[in-house]
Amino acid sequence: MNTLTSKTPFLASEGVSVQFFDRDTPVLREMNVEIAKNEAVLLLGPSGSGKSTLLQVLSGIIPRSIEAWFKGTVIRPERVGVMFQDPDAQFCMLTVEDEIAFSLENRLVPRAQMRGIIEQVMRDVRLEVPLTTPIRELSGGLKQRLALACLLALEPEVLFVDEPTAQLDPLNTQLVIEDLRRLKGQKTLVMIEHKLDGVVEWVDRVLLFNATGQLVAQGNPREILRDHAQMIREYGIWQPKLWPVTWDEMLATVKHPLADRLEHQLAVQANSIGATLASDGKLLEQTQSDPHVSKAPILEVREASLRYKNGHVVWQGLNVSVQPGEWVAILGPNGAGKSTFLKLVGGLIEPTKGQVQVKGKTLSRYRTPELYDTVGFVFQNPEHQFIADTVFEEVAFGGKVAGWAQERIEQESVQLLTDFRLLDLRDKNPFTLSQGQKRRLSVAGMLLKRQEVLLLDEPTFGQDAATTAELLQRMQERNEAGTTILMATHDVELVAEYATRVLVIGEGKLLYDGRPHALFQQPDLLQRASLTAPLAYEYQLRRREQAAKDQGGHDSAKHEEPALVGRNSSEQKEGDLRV
Amino acid sequence: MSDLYTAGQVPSSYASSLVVRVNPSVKLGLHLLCMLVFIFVHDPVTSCGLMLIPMVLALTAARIPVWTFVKRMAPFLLLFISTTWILSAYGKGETVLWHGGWVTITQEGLVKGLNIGLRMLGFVAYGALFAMTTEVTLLALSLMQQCKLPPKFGYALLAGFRFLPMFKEEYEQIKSAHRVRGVARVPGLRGKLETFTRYTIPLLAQGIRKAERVAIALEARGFDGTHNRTFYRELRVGANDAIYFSLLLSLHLLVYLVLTKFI
Repeated sequence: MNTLTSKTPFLASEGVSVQFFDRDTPVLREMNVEIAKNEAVLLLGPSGSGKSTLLQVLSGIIPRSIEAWFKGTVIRPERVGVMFQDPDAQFCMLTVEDEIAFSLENRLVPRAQMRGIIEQVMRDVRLEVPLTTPIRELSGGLKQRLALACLLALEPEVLFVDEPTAQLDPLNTQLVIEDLRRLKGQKTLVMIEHKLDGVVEWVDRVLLFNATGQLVAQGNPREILRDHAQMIREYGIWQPKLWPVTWDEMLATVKHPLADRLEHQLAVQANSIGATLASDGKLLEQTQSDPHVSKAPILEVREASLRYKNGHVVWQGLNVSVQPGEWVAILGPNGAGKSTFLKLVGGLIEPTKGQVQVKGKTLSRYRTPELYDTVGFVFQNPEHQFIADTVFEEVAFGGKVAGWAQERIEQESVQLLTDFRLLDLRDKNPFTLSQGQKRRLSVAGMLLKRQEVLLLDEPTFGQDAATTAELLQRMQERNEAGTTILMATHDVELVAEYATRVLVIGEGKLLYDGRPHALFQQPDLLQRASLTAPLAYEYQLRRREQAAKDQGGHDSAKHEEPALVGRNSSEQKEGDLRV
Repeated sequence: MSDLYTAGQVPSSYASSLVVRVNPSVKLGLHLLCMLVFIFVHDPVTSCGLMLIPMVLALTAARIPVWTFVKRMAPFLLLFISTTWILSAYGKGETVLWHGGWVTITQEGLVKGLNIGLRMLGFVAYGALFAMTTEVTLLALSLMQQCKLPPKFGYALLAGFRFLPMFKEEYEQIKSAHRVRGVARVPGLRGKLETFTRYTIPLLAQGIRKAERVAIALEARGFDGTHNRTFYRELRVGANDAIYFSLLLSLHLLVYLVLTKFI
């Protein structure tokens, strides 16, 4: 399919070059790509490699909606659809039916046919809500499925998707990917997706780009990921956790290398708890049963409830007590109130009922500067924190406010900038940095004052493998030096490896408070909280199921698919990077 | 914040009332006409009578709960009192009713003040009645279908409406972040200006980015901004609109009759 044929290709770019007006160099140079009808293609490359630009060129967004210098020919069928990353920025109507109808109206579909089509596409993406549901009431995952329904209403021959799961929790990621997978063979699919698990297994072809926007290789996923493993790692591209190994293969093979590694991880994670217990007495056990432990907690939430004016209850009756030096992960579905919980602890919102104490003192009795000398907060969107005109000033700011000596400010700021690989950028404006640089700067800016408690709201969100690994390393250093960390995240692999404790918030309450190790062995609870198990735990689960099957003989349960949680593979991490 | 989320939506408790079912463009036109009538009225008694029309309609034909309507109007009552006061206390006139210090209340001033104040209250009441009984989606659709507003603007209006609560949330986030970072509130005008720019830049950056994304997404779904499209919801002008028109007309006549016959 890669050889150029004489007949007109279905979808192709021929000698396409693109340069944005604010850049000095072209993003794409003489790009030749050809895609066959009903083929499923994955574009892979580091950020800035031009894969999004290529998708925009192929789908016609460039030059129709985004202006750029453009040269070359694009061949594309008449009807195409594009799915984007941001669930909040692809709609213009207020209700589900109006939004889908908008697609149909654009296509001049007669009004009498609309209702039927709307119901049909909603069934296609399993969007089971009333037609008049306001869009703002949908979770991120449902919004993305609505976006897909709106595209299917266009009856596109080609479906372009640009990281549609980037902002979703694990379970919703899996559902969106499954919807796409079902379209394989019926539609041509051109995809950009960070989370390769659940995708590489079924795409026909991978196009690999390098950092300068050249197409380095293309072919079936197995070959590309094998032959270019080195480059992929260097570029910080997320790799699949399991693939190309399959569960069947791993379970059938005695002493499979990946199985060995996973078992090792399990053992390490089970033991690391033991180590914490040994050095810290019986604290962890106690926090689970009795929040009022004898040793002074650094942070204590008592009977906290939050209810909005419109009557919506975010959560209620939260009791959490955190010991100094803990690394607490906060998990839960999109919209469960994880960020809100962090804001409560950080004194940014008041609970409707209950109270929060930091170092034994109620939050309301703190003066603002005093509180934030103790508690640092890294916000989800780095830009929200930026207050200075240069990268250096951004980091130095805290020291200036605290009235430190000039030398100390200079020395410690430079140290942080060096740690976070930002020193070369010290005179740049924070808003002009790349996504990854902004994230690193927002964390660095919060670390100068060495607060005892650090609250982080999805700090690894949208970051590539390299930046994530680096951020975690820095945080682990802080944690080892005694900083207490509370971190909201969707990344279960991260939790399994780093957190000493995990809180699961969902259904308006605290669903779980305890060790990650124990959480990940409860598939039912994971599913309730829209979570999936880390690979190692999924392996363990499947091992057990297999063992039970072998014992149980011709039990009827044997033919059932493994639990939903068990089948997933949509998380982001690759074991190698972490261990 | 909850107000912003539900702005432009009519609560189900009175969603089936007559005023809600009137075509939004017709309603808009009629309300503007009624406001125009005020301009030709120069005595406070007539203004008062006219001002009662939208209020009575709000509570009867629109079935808006009294308390909801009062809450919406309350801030304007203050404006009414201050306008009336300023005009009557400092307005020019011959017939002095009361004098004390710098304040001289004249009959002419009082009449003028009351008239302007009541006129303003009437405007506000028509506005509130419109806003509280009109779905923003239907307004946009009706402007496109009845008034031939280019869809480019109609859908931009709707997309913008969805942005309101997002902006508010965004603003709260930035405020929190700056508080954590210890951005001191410098007192005075300079401090205000500084805070303003600090908030504005990230807000604008994010706002422009979102708006751009929405525009791209809508164009990618085949939206070209022209009238070359069909409509899922077709709005018409019909019986309800005629009834509403006659209702307004008869109420105006009634006010006129009552005032000429009995006063």
